[in-house]
Amino acid sequence: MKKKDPAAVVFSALSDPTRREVMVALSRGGPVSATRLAEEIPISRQAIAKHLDALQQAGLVSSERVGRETKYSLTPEPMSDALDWMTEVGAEWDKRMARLRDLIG
Amino acid sequence: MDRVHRGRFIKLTDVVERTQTFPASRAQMWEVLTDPSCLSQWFGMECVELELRPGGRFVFRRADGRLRPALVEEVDSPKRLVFRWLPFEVGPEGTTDPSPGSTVEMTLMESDGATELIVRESPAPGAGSESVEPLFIDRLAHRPHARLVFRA
Repeated sequence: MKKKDPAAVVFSALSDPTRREVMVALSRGGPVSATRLAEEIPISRQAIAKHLDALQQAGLVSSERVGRETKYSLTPEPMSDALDWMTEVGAEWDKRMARLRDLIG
Repeated sequence: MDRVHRGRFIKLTDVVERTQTFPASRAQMWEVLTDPSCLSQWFGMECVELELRPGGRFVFRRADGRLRPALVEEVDSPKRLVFRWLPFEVGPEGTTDPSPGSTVEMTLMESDGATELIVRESPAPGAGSESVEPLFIDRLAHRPHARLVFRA
C-alpha cells in the first residue's frame, strides 16, 4: 500500500561504491551470474548476491533463471527517473533563488 | 545504458545544491526565509502552516489547492533550517497521493555584511518518512483548510 519514493530507492541503491561497480560490470554485457561477477569484483559471491538484491529492489537489475544459474542484467530505466528528479528539484531552487534576489534586492 | 557508459550515474548520488550570496545580514535573511508571507513569495507555494521547531510542520498549498506537508527537523536561528518533505500530498477531503520525499537543508553564512545561502536537497530514505505519515494524514484530514500558524 505504501509506496517508497522511487528516486530515493534508486539513490540509496547507488550510494554504495561496490553496487556501482556491480552496475558497471553488468553494463559491459549481460546476463551475468553472481559467480562471474565475483571473479571481476574482489568480494565474495555472497556479498555480490546481497548487492544484486538491493539493485533488483531498486529496479536497476533484473534476474532470470538460465539452467541451474541465476543471471542478472542491468535495467537502467529507474536512473532516468532519478535524473528527472534532480533536474526538476534543481530548476525549482533556481527559481526560488531568483525570487529571493528580487525580494532582497 | 548510455548514461552508465559515460559514468553519469555516479553524479546521481549527488544532492541538488545551490549557493547564492545576498546583500543582507544573516538575521535579515533568516526573517525572509522563515516569515510565512515572505516564504510564500519566494518559495512559489503558499505557506499555510509553519511551526518553527524540531518536530513541527510546514504545510504549503499548491496552486491547485493540494497540500504539500513537511516536517521540521532542525532549527538553529539564524543559521540553519532543515526540513523534510513528506512522501505524499493531501488532496481535498484528506485524500493522499505519493509524492517525492526529500530533505532540505538551508544554511546561512555571514561575512562582510553579506550572507551566503546554501541549499541542499537530497532524497530522503523512505523508512523515516513513512513512520510519521499516519499522524500527518490524521492531523491534516481534520483541517483540510489549514490556517496560518505564526511563530509565538
